[in-house]
Amino acid sequence: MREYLLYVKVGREPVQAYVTPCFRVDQDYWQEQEGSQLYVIGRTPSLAMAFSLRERLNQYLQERQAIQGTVNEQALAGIRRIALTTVREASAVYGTTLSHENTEEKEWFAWSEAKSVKEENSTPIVTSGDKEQSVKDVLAGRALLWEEMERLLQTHGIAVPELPQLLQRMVLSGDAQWLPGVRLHVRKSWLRHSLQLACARCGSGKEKIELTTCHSCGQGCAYCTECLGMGRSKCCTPFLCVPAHTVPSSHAGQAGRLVWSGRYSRDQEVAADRARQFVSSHWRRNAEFLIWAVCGAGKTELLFPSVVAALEQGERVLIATPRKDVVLELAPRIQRVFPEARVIAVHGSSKEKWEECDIAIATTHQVMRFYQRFFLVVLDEVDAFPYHQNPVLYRAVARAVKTGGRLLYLSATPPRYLQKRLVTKQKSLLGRSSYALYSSSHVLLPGRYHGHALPVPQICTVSGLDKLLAAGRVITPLHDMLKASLDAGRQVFVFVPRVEEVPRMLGYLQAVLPEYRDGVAGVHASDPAREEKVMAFREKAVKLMVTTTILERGVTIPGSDVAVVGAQAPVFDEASLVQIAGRVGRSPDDPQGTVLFVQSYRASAPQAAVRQITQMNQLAKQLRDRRKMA
Amino acid sequence: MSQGGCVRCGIRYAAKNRREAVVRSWAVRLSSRTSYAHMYRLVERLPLCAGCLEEMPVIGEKICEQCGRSWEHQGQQLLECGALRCRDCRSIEENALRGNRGLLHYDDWGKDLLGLYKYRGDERLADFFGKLLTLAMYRYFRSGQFDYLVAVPLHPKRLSERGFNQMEIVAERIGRDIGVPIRKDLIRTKETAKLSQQTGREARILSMQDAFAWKGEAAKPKKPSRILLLDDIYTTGSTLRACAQAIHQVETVKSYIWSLTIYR
Repeated sequence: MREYLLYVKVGREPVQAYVTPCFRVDQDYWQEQEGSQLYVIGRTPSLAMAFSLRERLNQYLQERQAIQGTVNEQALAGIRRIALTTVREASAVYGTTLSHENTEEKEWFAWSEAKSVKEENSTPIVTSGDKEQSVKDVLAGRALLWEEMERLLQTHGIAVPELPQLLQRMVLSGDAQWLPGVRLHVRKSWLRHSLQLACARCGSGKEKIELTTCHSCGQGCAYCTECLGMGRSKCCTPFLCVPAHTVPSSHAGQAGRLVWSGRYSRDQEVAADRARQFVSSHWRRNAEFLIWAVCGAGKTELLFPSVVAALEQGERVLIATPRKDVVLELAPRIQRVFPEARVIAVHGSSKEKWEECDIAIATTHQVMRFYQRFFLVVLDEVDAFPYHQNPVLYRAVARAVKTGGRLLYLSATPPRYLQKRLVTKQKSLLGRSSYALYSSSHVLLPGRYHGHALPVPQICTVSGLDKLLAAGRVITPLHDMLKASLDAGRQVFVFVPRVEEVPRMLGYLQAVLPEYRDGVAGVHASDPAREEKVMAFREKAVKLMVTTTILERGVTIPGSDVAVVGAQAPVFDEASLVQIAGRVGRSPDDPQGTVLFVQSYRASAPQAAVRQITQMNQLAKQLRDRRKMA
Repeated sequence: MSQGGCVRCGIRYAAKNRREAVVRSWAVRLSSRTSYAHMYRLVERLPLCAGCLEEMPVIGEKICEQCGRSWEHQGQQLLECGALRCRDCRSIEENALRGNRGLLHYDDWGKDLLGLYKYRGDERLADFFGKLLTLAMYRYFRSGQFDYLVAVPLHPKRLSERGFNQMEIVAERIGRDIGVPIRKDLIRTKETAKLSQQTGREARILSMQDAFAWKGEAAKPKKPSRILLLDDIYTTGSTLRACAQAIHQVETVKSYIWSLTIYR
């Protein structure tokens, strides 16, 4: 069980409180640096408590500027009293928050005052310089929990007997930063004190954090359930952030060689160039940029110039995308285009996760393990699952950007708050506002790369939709549309809102379209045969695919149409309906197609989706006209 | 997750009617020893949706009377010769354990859940496993049948690594549910490798010898005490037998020890 020591330093700077796992190192360090006086306050086994105390004491010391320069016994006693009351308060609040019916009064946080430290007969650390350097190199640019860090050092074959000492030295010299995995803080109020908790890794708040009695620290503890899949982030686990300092690439510049034979359309070229300018401009006006390109505009290709620009400066690039299958598909593609660069795929089970690289393709969750490592971070599909309604994740992900780096968002349907922040609106003479095509913080690409307009969905409202489906009655608009598409030899996606409705819909379709009985399949997220079914659909063995929103993005099937049955359901929001409509007409050989939204009552999301699509088409048309005039 | 919703697939219970039907059918099948009404309440409060509840791999009525293993997994010839105990149990001459009962088959249905709880440390699942074991308790035993519950302990080193003892938390919940006290006097004295890293039955049984010690005194020194051991899974049974042996070594009167596991 580790113990953490709290002390105040009196020196040239204002008096400040510090936390350390090994006081000896701090003593030596401050002696070396400025010869300042250290006063020990006390010790606690709970890391989160120690940090909470440090915060409280610093606040107290700031209020009492009077104790500048010298600290007498009386002032120290005052500080100790503050510490003691803080711990007791936290204990009490923790106890009431945990609230088991029959828990006895208990000291949740141990705290022992100490006047001075007994010499722990430890010799000053004698870690050799190159070992220290190798630890620094391995950890540079990472944000890891203690266990992860130990494992990482182990895989690199670095064994450091006095790791805490070494790390504490790095912390003191400003090369690293450490925090408790879950921060704990008592918020005071005249009505009721409450416990504030926050996960240092994923930024989740109290609602995602569970209190627990922990046997590792023996103290009141809490862990984050949000990022549990990546290892437990607890109050007693140190979370270590080490920024990357030096430019890593020895072969700077060469990595940026682009081997790509494809060609941009005019609009793509302009958009890609704007993104490149954002990356390479030195007097930075803003650190964020949004590429808003409609479905099928060729977003990945748009990135190449920006990536080249970053690589030419000898910097590292990260492309983050929500799903693992996309990572696996994207990594070889990027490697082909940048043959000289070291490209790694970073996901939960990847082997090369910890390797050095020029370009990293990572899943969103893995991005949380990086700290100020990349100059350019590209966040793909910012409206999709892990980010969706989870703004804290943005902050966690933005941590991977180096100071002075660039963050590039990529989306077909950017969420409202990103739009507000980055997209400027323009007003026409008539007073109608529409999106500006570009600004210093965004670029909008309203047309597809083949230049055809996006298919506009048709909405039809069928009252009593569920009953008609259950009774197996023919719903004329849906039936006509499916029949027309299938007769023309096209494939159809049928989207339903819930997993349970997949088999029901399957049964219904087989009943009303008996001639296509065999070409029907259904798929949902936890379907074991998911891959095979999607494969069969790609190979046209399956003509009609009933699916939940899992196929809403990433799947491209030429010559397909889409029907959404139950478009009023809350799972289909504006963004997801636009994405679904974007499945249709992606290939240049077949740019048209039908999209049908069947809703059981009038809902706002389908309408909004249609509005967005028509707006994009209008903008694309304006752009074309303008080009023609020029 | 803890606020309603299925622990296994994460969806909220959408089809209430269907779930009701599933709950009733389970309650009928499981209520041999307790009343239907009681069993209904126990099944009903499991945080599972209709689909997952229906697929729950509950061990059937035909089991080995020693270790609680289902006969369906045993092959036909054993069934025919009318044995009451399975082959593994017959090969053990002296058994410190009176018997074991498990609730579920250890298959894909529950493997991930247990892993999530034990290794990932999702302590919210303690509630679910507690409810499962309470159900198992009432299926096979009566609550007045035991003096106290004992959870299989972890080695202190493993405990500090993991941060919690998965069975202790579960045991506390059952203890509260059925009103039987818990004793924490059993300790693990020997550190053993993970089950998956050991090969073979013999190695496992050997490694478990003297792995536990009972540091407390017997509850009623003159009378045999009745103890229920709790563990997450019974594979070869060597862990639970070693625990029972450790308890027997201290006692003057041979106590009556059963064990209950989630998976068998």
